Amino acid sequence: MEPILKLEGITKTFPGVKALDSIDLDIYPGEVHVLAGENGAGKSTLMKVLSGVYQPDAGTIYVDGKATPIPTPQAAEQLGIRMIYQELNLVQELSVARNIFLGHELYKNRVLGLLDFKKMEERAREILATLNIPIDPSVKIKELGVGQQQMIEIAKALSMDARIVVFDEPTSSLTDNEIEELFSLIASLKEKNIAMFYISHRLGELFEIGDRVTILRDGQKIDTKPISDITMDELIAKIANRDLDNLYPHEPVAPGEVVLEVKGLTNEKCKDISLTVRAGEIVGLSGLVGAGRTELARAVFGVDDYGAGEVLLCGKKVPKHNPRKAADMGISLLPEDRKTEGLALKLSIRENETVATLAQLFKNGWIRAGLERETAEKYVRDLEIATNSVEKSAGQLSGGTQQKVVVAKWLMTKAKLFIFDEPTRGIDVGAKTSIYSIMDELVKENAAILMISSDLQEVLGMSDRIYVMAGGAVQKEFAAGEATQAEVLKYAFQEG
Amino acid sequence: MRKNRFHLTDLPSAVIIFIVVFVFFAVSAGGFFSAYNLASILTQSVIPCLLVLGVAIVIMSAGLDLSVGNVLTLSGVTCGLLLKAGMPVALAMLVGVLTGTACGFLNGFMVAKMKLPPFIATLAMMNIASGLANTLSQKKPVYWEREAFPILDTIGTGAVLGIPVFALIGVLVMAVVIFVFYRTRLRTNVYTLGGNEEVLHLSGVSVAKWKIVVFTLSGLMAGVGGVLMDARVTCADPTVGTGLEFAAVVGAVIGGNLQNVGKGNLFGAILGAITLATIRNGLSIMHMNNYWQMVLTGAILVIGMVIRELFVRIEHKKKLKEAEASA
Ligand SMILES: Nc1ncnc2c1ncn2[C@@H]1O[C@H](COP(=O)(O)OP(=O)(O)OP(=O)(O)O)[C@@H](O)[C@H]1O
Ligand SMILES: [Mg+2]
Repeated sequence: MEPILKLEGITKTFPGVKALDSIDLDIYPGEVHVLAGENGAGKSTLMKVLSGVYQPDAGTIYVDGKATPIPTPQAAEQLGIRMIYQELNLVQELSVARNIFLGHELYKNRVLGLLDFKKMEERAREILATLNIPIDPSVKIKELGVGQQQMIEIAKALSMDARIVVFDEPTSSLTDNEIEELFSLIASLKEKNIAMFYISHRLGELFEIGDRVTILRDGQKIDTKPISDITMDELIAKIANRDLDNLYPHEPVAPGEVVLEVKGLTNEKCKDISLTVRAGEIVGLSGLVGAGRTELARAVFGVDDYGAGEVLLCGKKVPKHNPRKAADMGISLLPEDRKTEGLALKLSIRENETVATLAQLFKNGWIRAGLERETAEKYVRDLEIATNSVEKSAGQLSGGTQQKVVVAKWLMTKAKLFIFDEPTRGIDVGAKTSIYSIMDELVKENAAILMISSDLQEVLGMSDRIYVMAGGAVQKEFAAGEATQAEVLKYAFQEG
Repeated sequence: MRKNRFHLTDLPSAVIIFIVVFVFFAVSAGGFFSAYNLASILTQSVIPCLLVLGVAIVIMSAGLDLSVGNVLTLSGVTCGLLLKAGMPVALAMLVGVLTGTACGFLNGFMVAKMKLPPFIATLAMMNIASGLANTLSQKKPVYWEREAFPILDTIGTGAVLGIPVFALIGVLVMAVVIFVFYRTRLRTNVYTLGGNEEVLHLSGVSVAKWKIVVFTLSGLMAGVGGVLMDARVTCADPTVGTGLEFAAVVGAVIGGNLQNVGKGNLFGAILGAITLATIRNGLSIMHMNNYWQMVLTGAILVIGMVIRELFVRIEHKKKLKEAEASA
């Protein structure tokens, strides 16, 4: 069989970084080719070369054996290359149907440009039905949750005939059910002989659906292998370029006084929630996406208001709906949606990292530039942030690297209570371990940590205690060592 | 399954302001609430409504157009000079409209291709248009031979079946713009530009082309406004459009059109323009001078934003209540 697509010597340089260094890669019809590598390794860039967003500086793309330049996203579309990007690309105020057909609308009258709304809605309904997505196509995107939006993104990509589909970290915001749905969709695309690239930092997934794996590091191809010829440990070692024998380096310390106490907190998404976190403790908050964990965090920090209930920090009442006060009292929240809430894309890494801690860096009204720079650089090193300078603007970083910058920014604050919402989403396996080590240091210095995570391994590996939420309520509390994967899942799936 | 719901934040603040202003003048300005005066408010609103449509669409697409007032002037002066030179009326009007369109295109080009911020590009155009209009007209109103062009008088002051032709043309143009906006790709692409232009690019649609389309449309509306203004006032005054851009921006904003939110409301924009025309009319009935109008227009902008903020909060409280009820 001939490869449907072949890349030869693809090289792409951005100012100061060689994002891709002479990459060779091919893919066959019906194959799932998974890409693995650290944040900033070049995975998304490579796929964007395929989809016509970036032009390679050197190298050739062969489609069906013929050299084929892909100068624009339109050209890629015409070749049947469909891309599901790492970031959501939907228009909030337009309906699901209008989003699915964005850029290739259906017309009643082509000459006059009159759109056929009914037909688009019908077609959208059909597409959603074949993908088993239970969403009404006339609903605006803003009414949907992140997971549902991700599914619409997939529907959009598959609304036109596809030969090659690229999934760039599609599962980072999906629930387990939706992930299963996605995997069976991938299986059915496989039967139709569609070729797929699949990128994920959840390495387990790669073994579940991949046929071959390619590992990238610093823009270079390290290896391509059938997935059956590699073990998880080998894969991790190749990605991180070192052996990671202990992924979850957490040593429990004796818990101190109660730092956070939530009593009967109730609002739109949270039902009568009570919990505590002590100094020196990492408390895991597990549950499915949409269980109300993020909403709880936002309410505690004061981003969202709540009705009944109260929040105490070290016994003192934290005022409702006043994030500034909450921050002053010593709460720090790492938000889930980093792109919009956590990062100023036009500012540099240094500015982004230090903006939350600026007050500590001021002396007599002057900013201590040296100290600011040093601190920023320390975190760039610790988290292995893939950049050549702390002055690079955040918008130019890879998806996962942006996450690292935000995490670094929050780690720099001196707080009594850290709330981390999905601290390692989209972050590569090596840096995950560095983040865990930093958490560990924080609790040793007597901070309290509430960690929201959908990654069960992470929750089990890092938590001293675990609360499981479902349907907006706490279903179960597990003491250290009590929880198992099956037990946690059982309660996570419990409704109301 | 989720459903589309009405959010108070979708309601333009112009609705509230209009009702308050209208009731206030109806009560306190004698002669305001008469059929004759209401009709004249509507006629006075025609040109601001045309401008506000263009400006609202630009704002929704995350742009800004400060040039429409002076571009209107330039179009009017161009048309007036050609009439004075004896050019056939249809041709002179066409060239007038095209002048505005070309200015709009240039705005779009500066923003989309030369990457100038819309604020800067249209500020430059605002001055260029004003400078040209004053030079061409030698800073004096341009008069033409009225008797030679009876059709202009029909457009400016005539009526069919008791309805002013001037208003009829205005409404027709507005209807076409609204129809095109809601029935073609224009709305989708404008919302996408406003929400996140990267999405448009990744969907295989040319961002630059659509930015140019949007600014050109705004220029077109200013051009149409310019020649209609000629017909209405029977001369081309080189200062006639000054300040209209501010009214258009304020009208668009209180009509629920903001930058970078990825949505908009053309009907709200029209109501916004009518609200400002109503204020102008009411104040002049009460013998308040022009400067008070400026003060009030500025204040209305602030009030509009405050009302919007209020809506945001009410919407928020509503959500909380629902939540408590369900818990
Ligand atoms: N538009 C850009 N301008 C400048 N540099 C860029 C740009 N896009 C990517 N880069 C750089 O290219 C390198 C590769 O980035 P890329 O997004 O491909 O990484 P990735 O493998 O997808 O990482 P992640 O797992 O975090 O998504 C990074 O060093 C990044 O900073
Ligand atoms: Mg990426």
